[in-house]
Amino acid sequence: MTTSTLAAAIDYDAFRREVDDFARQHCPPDLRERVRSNAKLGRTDYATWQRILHARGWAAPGWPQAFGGTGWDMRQRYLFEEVTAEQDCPPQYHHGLGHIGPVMLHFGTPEQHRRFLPGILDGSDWWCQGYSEPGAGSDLASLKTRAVRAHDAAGDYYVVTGQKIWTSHAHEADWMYTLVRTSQEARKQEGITLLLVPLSTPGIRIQPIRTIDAWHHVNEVFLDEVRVPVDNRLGDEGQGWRCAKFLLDRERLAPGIVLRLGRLLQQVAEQVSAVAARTGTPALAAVFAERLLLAEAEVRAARELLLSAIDDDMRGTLRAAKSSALKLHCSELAQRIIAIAFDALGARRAARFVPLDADGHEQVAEDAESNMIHNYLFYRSRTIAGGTSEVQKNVIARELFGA
Amino acid sequence: MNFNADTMFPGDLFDAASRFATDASRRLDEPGARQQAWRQAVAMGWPALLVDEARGGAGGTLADLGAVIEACARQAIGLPLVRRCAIVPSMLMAAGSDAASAALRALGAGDIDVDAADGSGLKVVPQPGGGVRLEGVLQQLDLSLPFTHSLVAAGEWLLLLPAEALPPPAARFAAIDGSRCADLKIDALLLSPAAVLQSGPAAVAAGQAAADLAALASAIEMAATLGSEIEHCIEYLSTRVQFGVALATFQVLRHTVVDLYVQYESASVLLSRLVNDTASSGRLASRDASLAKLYLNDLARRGAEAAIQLHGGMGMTAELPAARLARRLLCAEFEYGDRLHHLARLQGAAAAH
Repeated sequence: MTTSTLAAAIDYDAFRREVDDFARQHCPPDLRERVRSNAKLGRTDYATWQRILHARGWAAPGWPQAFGGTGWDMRQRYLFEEVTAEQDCPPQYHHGLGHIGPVMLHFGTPEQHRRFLPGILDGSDWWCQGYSEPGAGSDLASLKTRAVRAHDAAGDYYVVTGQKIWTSHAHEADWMYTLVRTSQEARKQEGITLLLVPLSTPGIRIQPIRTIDAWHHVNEVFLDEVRVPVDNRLGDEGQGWRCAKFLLDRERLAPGIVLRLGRLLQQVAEQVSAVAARTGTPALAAVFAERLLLAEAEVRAARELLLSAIDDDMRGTLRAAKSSALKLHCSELAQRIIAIAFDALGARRAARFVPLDADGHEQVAEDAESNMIHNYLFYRSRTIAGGTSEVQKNVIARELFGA
Repeated sequence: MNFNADTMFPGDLFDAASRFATDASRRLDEPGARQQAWRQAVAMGWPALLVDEARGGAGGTLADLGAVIEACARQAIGLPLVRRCAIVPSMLMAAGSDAASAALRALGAGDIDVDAADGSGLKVVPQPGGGVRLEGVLQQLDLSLPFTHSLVAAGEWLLLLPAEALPPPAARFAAIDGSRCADLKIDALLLSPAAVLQSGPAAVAAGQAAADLAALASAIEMAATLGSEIEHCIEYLSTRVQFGVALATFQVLRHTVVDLYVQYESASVLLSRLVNDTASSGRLASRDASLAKLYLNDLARRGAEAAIQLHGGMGMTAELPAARLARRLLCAEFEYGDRLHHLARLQGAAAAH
């Protein structure tokens, strides 16, 4: 693996070994087993690993050293993600480190850095994203949650009222970074502001949304005259869309998502082999062979696409079409890979998806087979969340067709 | 035109080859144009591009060969670059015999013009004194371009057949892409020891090395053709007006093009990497070559079918450049190992592993 901007002085083989040794020795075996079986990870899982990484000084691979990051170059970041994926370490929780953290670094005040960054780095503060609304999904700029500026003896604040939807992790988060409308402008992208809201604030109600995968990921968040201090505003008033764009542009180059596809493919191939062995039908493996091989080629292509995009990004020549192509390729590839497992396991598991107790209550099954079915359903969201495939295609098409 | 496919193997050689291919594509309908183009390719030293300088070649890299194949594929000018510039030199270099080295030097000097032919339908019977007797069918020979010798891998034999020893064609065909080929029925053809370049495991290994390179080179050709095809689709959709608007305004058509673009981007970076890694390590793994070819075979079919559909009735017309590229994609899928061939190889490799 090479990128055009590599520094020659770093011994990457030694770095790889160092990360590998660390992952083997310090990531708890029970946590690795949960990751290996593709279980649904929650705050406890993520936070455990984040504390361990923080103690080692590896809390934020993508951040500059001045802000508590590792200062690694892209190749080191790539290797870190690759090795930790191979060793079944959890991914790092993205809402703090990958999403709002970099926005804070770019748009935040020194005071905000002091307040918020340490909690993200050591994993003690948990963030979620309040972007989508019932009437503003792909058309995010149509959001209506309003924030009205007010003042009293305690200082300046906003009064926020509205509803957010599809808010992942809100049920286990401490903070929500959220886009609100602070004024009505002719252009709907204007008049949007980014606020940092403690979820313990009076007036906030969080309600789970039941999803087809039978896992609890997402929520509705109702805000009823929620008081948010002006000091919790990130960037200037009306600058929220710029912050959101900044976040989205970075999100698409996240190495972790790409590099975990290879591990998923291995696990799916293992499931196919296990089903063939269990059912005494070795021909089953042959039936899936072409799809597994094509997926392997596509996983390799995804890695190269990522490296190529990173190279372009570092040269300042990254086109929106390429980063959208990466998101599109990876999200659809993830679905193709997990669908192989679904095909292999569906005959036994589709009807036996969630175990029930004697009273008919749903139980949690965390075996690898069951998790594949959960993930097949959960992965439907891969082409919907973070910009639907259709939105990505529109972005690319605008560039290809010049209009 | 708004979109130009990113080049896989950029550089001076790609630029020069592009100028040549663009010029050649404009003359494709002229009598003798293909023959003229091939003479130019020989004059530029492409058949010996991969041959080391000590043996009279250009000492080029795999990326150089990639640049030539990519540039020509983008114009679908139909030169036998994979056979004559990849298979022939790689098989001769891998053969490792004095006779093969002599053939390489002659190739480098331009004294011989060698095409590769499919020897899988031949039976080779050793003769007293070191020669061999051939029986069977020599398949899919391109007789439209001159050649002095035909290089054939047949089982455990690597043979260099003089053109004058070959019988007239038993059957002639036009391929999907319009190219011409012929099957030759070989009946007790006796070859002298000089025609035997290698035999036994070394010949099998040389044949395999050439087949791997051919699979990779073919994948490069298909990716380049696909990139060019996308450009044609965008151009057509941007200019063709229906219902009072350009077809490019219809989202469903735009998204089909985007699918092709994402496939091209993914395939092209993968192939660039494979070529660079092969250059660094000095060897091309059979598994990597087969995987790349299997992948591109799949993309080529989808790309060709989509491009024809996007062009509507025009896509069915044989002379439209986009249709020419599509026909080339459909044909290339079955060259140097189709889907089933590479699937079987990869599964065999997995079983052995």
